[in-house]
Amino acid sequence: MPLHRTEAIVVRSMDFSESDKIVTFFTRGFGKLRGIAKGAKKSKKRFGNSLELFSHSNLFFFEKENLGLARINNCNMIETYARIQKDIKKVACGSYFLELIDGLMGEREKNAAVFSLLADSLSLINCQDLGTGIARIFEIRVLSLLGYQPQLERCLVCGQMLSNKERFWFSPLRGGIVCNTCSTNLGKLSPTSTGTLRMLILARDMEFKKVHRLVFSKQALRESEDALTSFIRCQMGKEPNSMRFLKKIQNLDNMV
Amino acid sequence: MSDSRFAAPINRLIASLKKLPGIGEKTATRLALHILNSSRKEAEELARSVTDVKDKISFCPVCFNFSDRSPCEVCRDETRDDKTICVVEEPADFLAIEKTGKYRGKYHILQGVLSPLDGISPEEIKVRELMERLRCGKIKEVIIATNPSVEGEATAIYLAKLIKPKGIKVTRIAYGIPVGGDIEYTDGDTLSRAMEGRRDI
Repeated sequence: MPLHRTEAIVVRSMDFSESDKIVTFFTRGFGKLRGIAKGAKKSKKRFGNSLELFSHSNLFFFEKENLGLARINNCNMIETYARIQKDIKKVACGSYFLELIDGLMGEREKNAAVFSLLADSLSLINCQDLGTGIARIFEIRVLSLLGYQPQLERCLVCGQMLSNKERFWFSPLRGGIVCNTCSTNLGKLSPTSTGTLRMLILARDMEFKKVHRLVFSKQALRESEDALTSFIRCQMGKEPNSMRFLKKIQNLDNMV
Repeated sequence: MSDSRFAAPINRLIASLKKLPGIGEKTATRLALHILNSSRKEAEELARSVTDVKDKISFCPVCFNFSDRSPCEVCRDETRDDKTICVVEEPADFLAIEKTGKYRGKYHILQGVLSPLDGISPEEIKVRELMERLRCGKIKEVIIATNPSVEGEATAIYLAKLIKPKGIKVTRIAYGIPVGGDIEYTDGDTLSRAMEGRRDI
């Protein structure tokens, strides 16, 4: 029963029995991993706050044969992203990242690039004001890294390249754009301007450390949200809880 | 998983007990056999208390704690300070604070905490009801005693944002090292908050 060590971010945490916790981590070395932390609810000394949502730590765990659940030995904290919890919108946005990872990835699917994207995105919302485009940037990048990349450069039906002369629509079911001529009888489509599509291509391809410079116009935000969230809903088979939550609290001041 | 060596009514009891939190197969069997061996009066008393809590207990319409009266004892108690409200997540938290005997104000039980991952938004917990209570203008301070977890913290900040513009003082319970704790083994985050929240002695 060897002791493994890997970098990990807590994706979900739930109480189990009297004093234990079952925690889902997304790890750099082992992909999504579920483990049991014995005594984590009673003793705060051993795990501290390292099993809280978003916690980024070095995880040490044992694995028993034929048992899906790892035994968490201890976690050495790297980063808590403490400023995220000071703003409910940041918590909702960060939770959305975690829910996408949890929903789109199978257990033990190792993907270091997705791990880096998650850590960098949490770090970005921790340090800076929540740019409204960050959720879209994360969506398009995570979809691309996981092999769900929607076709944004050419019409899915006739192959016509993206251009300012033609009007394009996004088809969530087919996972890409279609030109105006091919758009008849294709079910639900969202109108997506060429500017928005170019913005998404840029958000997908540019270096991550520069993405905070991207400024989405109101139209680009609305269109990209429509296109990507409905595409994700198709892929996951449901609307992510945190997406619904985020929409509800958008109008925080008018609630009460 | 029922044991065919037991009669069906015993298996049914074991199955019901097993649904309780923290009770596994073995404990459920032990409890079921204990009930079987106890007197009829004791067993009936247990059965009656179970149905009684379901029949008689409901939420207090003011603070949303469990109560058999409306409003509950705490909300009715005129000797308590009615200018302060302590906001907690669950009835168990109310009990823990009440046991200390240090707080003599009123309570508000949220019946949950904001959680984007579980889709629990402000509408699902008793936020609107809290804001209604504050509207009377009598309340001078709201103490937020949600858990120091990510969700609890986010709920506290959210409530503070809603309440502060109404000119009511909003305070958060202190963070720090537990009594009898050990600085050497305390995590960095707790220690730094303990340093930030230090006070004169």
